[in-house]
Amino acid sequence: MRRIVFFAVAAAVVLGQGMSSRGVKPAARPPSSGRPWPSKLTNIARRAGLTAPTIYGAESNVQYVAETSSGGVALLDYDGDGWPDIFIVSGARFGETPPEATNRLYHNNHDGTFTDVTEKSGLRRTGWGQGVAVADYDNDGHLDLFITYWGDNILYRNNGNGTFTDVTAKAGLLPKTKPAYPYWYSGATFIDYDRDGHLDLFIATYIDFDISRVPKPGANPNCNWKGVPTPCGPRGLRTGRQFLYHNRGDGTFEDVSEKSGIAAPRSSFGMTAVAADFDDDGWQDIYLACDSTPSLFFHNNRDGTFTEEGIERGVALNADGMEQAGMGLAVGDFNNDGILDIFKTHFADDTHALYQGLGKGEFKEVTAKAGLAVETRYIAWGAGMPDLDNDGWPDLFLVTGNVYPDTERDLPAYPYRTPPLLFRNLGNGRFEQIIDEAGPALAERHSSRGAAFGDFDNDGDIDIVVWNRNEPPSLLRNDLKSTNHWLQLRLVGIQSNRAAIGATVTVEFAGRKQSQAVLSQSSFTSASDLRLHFGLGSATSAGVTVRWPTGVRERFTAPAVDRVLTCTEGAGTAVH
Amino acid sequence: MLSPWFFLLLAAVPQNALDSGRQALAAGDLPRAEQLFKRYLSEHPNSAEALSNLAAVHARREQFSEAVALYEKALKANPGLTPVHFNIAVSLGRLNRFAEAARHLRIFLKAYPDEPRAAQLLGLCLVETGDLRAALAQLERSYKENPKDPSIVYALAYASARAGDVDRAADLLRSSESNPAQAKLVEGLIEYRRGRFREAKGLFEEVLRISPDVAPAIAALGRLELLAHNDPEAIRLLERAVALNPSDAESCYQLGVLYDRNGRTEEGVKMLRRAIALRANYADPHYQLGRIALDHQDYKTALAELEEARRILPDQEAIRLALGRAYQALGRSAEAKAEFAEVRRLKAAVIERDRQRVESDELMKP
Repeated sequence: MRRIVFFAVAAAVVLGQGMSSRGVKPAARPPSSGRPWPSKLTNIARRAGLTAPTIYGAESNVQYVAETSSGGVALLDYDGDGWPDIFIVSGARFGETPPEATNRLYHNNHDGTFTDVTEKSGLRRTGWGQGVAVADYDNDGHLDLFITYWGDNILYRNNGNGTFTDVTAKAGLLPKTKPAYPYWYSGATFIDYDRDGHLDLFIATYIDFDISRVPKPGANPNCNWKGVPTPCGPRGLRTGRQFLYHNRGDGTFEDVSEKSGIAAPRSSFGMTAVAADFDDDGWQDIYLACDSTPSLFFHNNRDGTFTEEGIERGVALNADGMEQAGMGLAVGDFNNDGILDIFKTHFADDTHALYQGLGKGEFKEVTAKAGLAVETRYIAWGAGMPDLDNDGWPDLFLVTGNVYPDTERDLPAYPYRTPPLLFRNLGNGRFEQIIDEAGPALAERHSSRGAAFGDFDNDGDIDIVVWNRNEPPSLLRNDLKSTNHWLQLRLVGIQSNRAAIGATVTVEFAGRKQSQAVLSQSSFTSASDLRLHFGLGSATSAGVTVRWPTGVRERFTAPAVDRVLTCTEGAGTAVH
Repeated sequence: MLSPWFFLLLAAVPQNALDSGRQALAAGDLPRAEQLFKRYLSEHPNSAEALSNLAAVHARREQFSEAVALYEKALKANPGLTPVHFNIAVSLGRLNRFAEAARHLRIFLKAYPDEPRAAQLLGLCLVETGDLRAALAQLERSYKENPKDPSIVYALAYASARAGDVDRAADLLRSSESNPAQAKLVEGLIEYRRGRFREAKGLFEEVLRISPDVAPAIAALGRLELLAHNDPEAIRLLERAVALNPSDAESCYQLGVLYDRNGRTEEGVKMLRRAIALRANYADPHYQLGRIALDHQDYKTALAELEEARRILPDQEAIRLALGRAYQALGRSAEAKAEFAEVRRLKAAVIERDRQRVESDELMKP
C-alpha cells in the first residue's frame, strides 16, 4: 500500500492556490543581441566636488525602518542659467547627528564641477528628510523646492537671487493641529488638478509611525527578513494617508484632502508620487507607488475630485493580482506609441514592473514579455526611462541597495551595497540588460535610493545623479560615442503653470511618436531636470506637440536638432 | 493489505458455476475460477456478480486494465452493486488512474461510511491527484482509527509535508516505519516547504539514487527547476513525472504553465485541460486558461474559465482581477466594476487584519 504514494507528485508551492509572486527567481536570460552599446557611465562625483556624505540613520545596528528609507535628489536649474544644479535631501541619526547632516544644494559651475552653496542659499537644515518635488508654485519664473520629512515638511520659495525662504507656515502647509507624533511624509508632487494655472500639491505619508510603539527588531514576524531580525515595517505598522492642498494663487494653500477624495484610501504605504495626464483627457491624474499594498491611481474627475482606480486601470497590482513593494516610478513611452507607460521598482526576489499604457488610462503589465524578469536580485528604488544612447528608444535605468546594512552577515546573497541596473531598449518591445559595456559606474556598489536624470553638462546626453545612503552621492556622467541626434525641450507655461508641470510632450521623428511628461517628482521621491530629452536616432528633424496642463494642444517645429528648444505656451500652432 | 477481492463476497448464487468459481478463486485456483465464471457468463452475459468475480481473477493476475473493463461492465449491469466501486478503485489505483479511483471510492463511502480502508485509499488517491486538503481530511480520519498502521502514518506524513505542515510531517515521520527512500522524500518535502531548496534538492536526488523512478521526487526536482527558471530542465523532469504518474494533476498543471510560457501554448492548454480532468475543483488551471485566453483576446473563453475559477475560489484576488479584465474587455462594465470592487474589498480585508494585529497589545509592545 505504501507503494502507491510513490506514484504521486509533490505539492505545488509556487503555482499553487496562493499565486504569490514573492520569492520570484529571475527568468532565464536570452542570448545577447550583440549590438554595441555606445554609452559609458562614469562616476565623477568626487572630481565634481560632490564629496559630502549623505547622512541617513545608523551605519549599522539599525533599529527603525525610518533610518532606512529616504533618498530624494533633484536636478534643477534653480538660478535659471541653463545648467542643472543638484539638490540632495539628507537625514539625521538617533543619538548624535553629525554636523554635516544637512540637505545640500550644489551649484553647477558649467565646467563639470559643482560648488556647495547650501549655506549661502539658506537651505541648511537637519532632519529626517525624505523626498523632494520641484516646481514654480508661485509662477515667478524661479523653481521652488518642496521637501517631505518625517516631521514637518518644508516649502522653500526661490527668491530669484540664489537664496530660498522657508514659507511653509505662511503657505498653510503645516498641520492645523499638531499631531500626537510626527507624520512620516514620503512622496509629493505638484499638480494643477483644476487647470487654474496654479500648482496644487499632493503629499503622501508612508507609515503612521509612532516610534514609541514600534517593536524592536526581531520582535515579531514583521520584524524579520528571511529569518534575520530587522527593523519592523512597513507591514505590521499602521498604514499612511494622502493629502491634497489647493493653491489659492496668492501663495497660500487650502487643505482639500477630504473633499477631493484624495484622503479616502487609508490602507496604503505610499512612496513616490507622479502626476501626469495618463488618460490624455487634458486633466492630470496622480499615481502613487505603494509599498506592500496596492498602488493608487487617482483619476481626475475634472470637478475638483478624484476617484481611486488603480485596480480598474491595471496599475495597482502585478499581473497575478499581487501587491508589490512599490517604491520608485519612471514614466515614459518605451514603445514609442505616443502613450505614457509606467515602470515601478520593487523589493528583492520580485520583478520590477513595466506597465504598458494602452490608451485612455488603461495599462497592462508586460514585465516578462519585455524581458525585464531576468533581474530580481536587488532591492530597487529610483528609476528612469532615459534614452542613454539617443537611439530614439527609451532605456531603463534603476538604482538599487539593500534596506538593512546588517543582514548581509547572515544573508550573503543579499549584500547591502549593490550596483545600478541598466536595460537597453531593443526597439521591439523587449529590453536587454547591459552590464559590462556601460562603463565603470555599473560596477560600483552603493546602497542607493533616489536618482535624478538630466544633461548636467549640456553635451546632448542624459547624465544621472544618485543618492547613496551614508556616502557621497554619485554623479554618473554619460560619455556617449554616437552620431545619434537629440532634442531637448524646455517648456514655459503662460496660461499654464510657468514650469509646465504636468504637460505631455509628443515628439514625432522618423515615423515614431514618443511621449514624455514634465514631472515634479518621479524616480524615488526625486525630481529630474524639467527639460525633456528625446533621443532621435538618425533623424534630423522632429515635430513637437505639447499638451499643456490647461489641456490645450500646440504644435512646434524644431528648426534643427541637437539643441535645446524652448516652447512657450501660445507661441506654437494650436491643434484642435 | 487492501486485497482486490476484499469485497467479493457478493450475493450468493448457490449450486452453479458462479458459486464454484467463487470457491476456486478463494482457493487461489485462478484458471479454474476463470473457466467457471466464463461458463456462467455464457449463459448469463449480464450477470454483474460473474463479471465482477472474473474481474477479480484478472486483478489477482495484475491484469488491471482487463479487471477495470470487467468491473465497469459489472457496474453497468447492476449500478447498485456498491462493493464493486471499491474493487475497481483498487485496480484503477494500480493503473495510476487516481482521479477515477477517487470517484469510485466516494460512491463506495457513501454506502459504507465506516469502512476505514476505503477512507485510507481515498486519502491516498487524493494525495496522488494533489487535492491535499481533502486528502488530509481522509487520512486524519484513517489515522485516528488506526494510529499504528504504518502505511497510514507515512501517507499522512507525506501529505502533511506537501501541504506545508512540516512540523506534523516531521513528527509523523519519526514514528513511521518508512524505508530510506520514503523517509528522504518526506524530508525533502519538509525542507522544500521550509524554503531550503538546496537541501531539498539533495534529498530528492538521494531518493532517486535509491529508486530512480520515484515520480514525486522527480516532480519535486522539476518544480525546483521551475522555481529557478530553468525551464528546459523543469519541463524534462515534469514530463517524466507525468509519464510515471499520468494522474498527477499538479505536474500536469505546472507543465501547462511551462509550455505556455515557453511559447508552446497549444500544448500548455492541453495539459491544463488534462489537469482539470484529473482533479475536480482545481482552480489554478482554470485561472491559467483564463489568463492565456485573455492574452489571446479570446474573451469568451477567458470568461468561462475565470468564472469557473471564481466558483471554486471566490476569495482569490488574482482570479477576480482577471475576471474583471475579461468583463471589461467584453464591455460588461457593471460586472467588471463588481469584480474590481471585490478585489479592493479582499485586499482591504487583508490590510485590516494586519492592522488589527498591529493594534493588539502583544504585537505593539515595544
